[in-house]
Amino acid sequence: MHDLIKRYVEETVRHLPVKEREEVALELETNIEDMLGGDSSTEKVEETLLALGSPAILARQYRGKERYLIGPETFDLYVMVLKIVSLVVGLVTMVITFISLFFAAESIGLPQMIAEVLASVFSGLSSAFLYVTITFAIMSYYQVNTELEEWNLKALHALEEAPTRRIKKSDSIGEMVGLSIFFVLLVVLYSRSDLIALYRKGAEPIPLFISQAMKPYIIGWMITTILTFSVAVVKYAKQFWNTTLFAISALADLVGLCYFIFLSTRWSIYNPDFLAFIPGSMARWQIIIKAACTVLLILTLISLADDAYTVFRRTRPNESGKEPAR
Amino acid sequence: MVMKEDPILTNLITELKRGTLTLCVLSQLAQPQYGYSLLQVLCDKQIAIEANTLYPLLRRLEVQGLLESSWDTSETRPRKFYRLSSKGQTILGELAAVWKEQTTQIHTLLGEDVYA
Repeated sequence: MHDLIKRYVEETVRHLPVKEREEVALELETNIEDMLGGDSSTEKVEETLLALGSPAILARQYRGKERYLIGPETFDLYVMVLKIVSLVVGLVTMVITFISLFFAAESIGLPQMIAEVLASVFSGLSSAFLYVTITFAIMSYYQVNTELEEWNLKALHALEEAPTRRIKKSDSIGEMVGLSIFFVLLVVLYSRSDLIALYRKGAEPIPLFISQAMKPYIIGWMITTILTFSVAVVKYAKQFWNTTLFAISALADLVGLCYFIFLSTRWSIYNPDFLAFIPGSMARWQIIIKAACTVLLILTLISLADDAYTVFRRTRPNESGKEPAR
Repeated sequence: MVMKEDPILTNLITELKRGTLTLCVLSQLAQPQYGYSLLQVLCDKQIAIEANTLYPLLRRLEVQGLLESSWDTSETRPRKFYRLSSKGQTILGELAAVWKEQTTQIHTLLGEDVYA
């Protein structure tokens, strides 16, 4: 037998289950020999094998079914689970890392803190992706049935009315009003931070903040507030969520939050005279501030998760604004 | 002859033929045939089927129990012969009935003038 035929057949059956190889090889060899019609010249063999096509494709025909890492019938479910798991893992990792950094023995700067949080979120998301994919790959390999449920009348009627990604006008307006008031407070804080003070009868008020230490930070805070405000305006104008808008909004929220945390943990801005009135003084005060930051962080993340749900799970509005033809 | 250049058309033709090939193959296996001989039988009857489609198809039909096979080792080269199993005969009958019914319906749908 021509050496090329042997090599061709070997290459084909290599892709098949072991127990089928020998029989398929024997049959295929005979068929190829028959196709040659007694002419075993190299040219004829080459021509015949070229006509038979790639061994990999031939083997696929023999197997009779396509093989997938994640099959088409599972793919939608896979993407949905991946999104949910990524969201949860991302947020939880972020919260835990933030908290652990706050209560760490030695304090670190904001840039390093952000870097560490990003690093752990990235590694958390990578693992989430890996494990979800492996799980689905195993399910696909063993052909686990992932049809969600039987399609019947009950399922038909249980379908949700398509909720859209509309951004409530009242939410955007509320946000703008809140941010405006906050901005005014910042201006007051900048010019007269001594107004926030402990007032006692017959004595000088003791301000909470040391004005000079605080001032440079306030300007940064004003800038982040203006940023968040502009995002609220865009949300009001656009009326509907899209992925970019969500990314910008989430970024603005997180930047604002980080800045607040950064500022409130600059311990030099607090007046030691004021803190002297708190039992436990500075140490107690630091715990209060850290706890407040943590609560704020969790609240922000919950609100982000809610927005993310709206963006990723709900239907896009009909962007042309036209009714479909009937 | 159809234009082979259009990939959409080629793909549609492949899709259209896929199911009918099984019917063609089953119909010719009342008598035992081996791969290449069946290829020639079909070719003589103007059924264009590629060798690389037919050989794997025979094996898959055998795995599904529609064909049964036996090795003939009396000649110089051992050959695997396929013929219809009793299950295959039943299936062939039903497929043929569906085919006839469907061609009648499609005939009506298309009308004589459309594809004449």
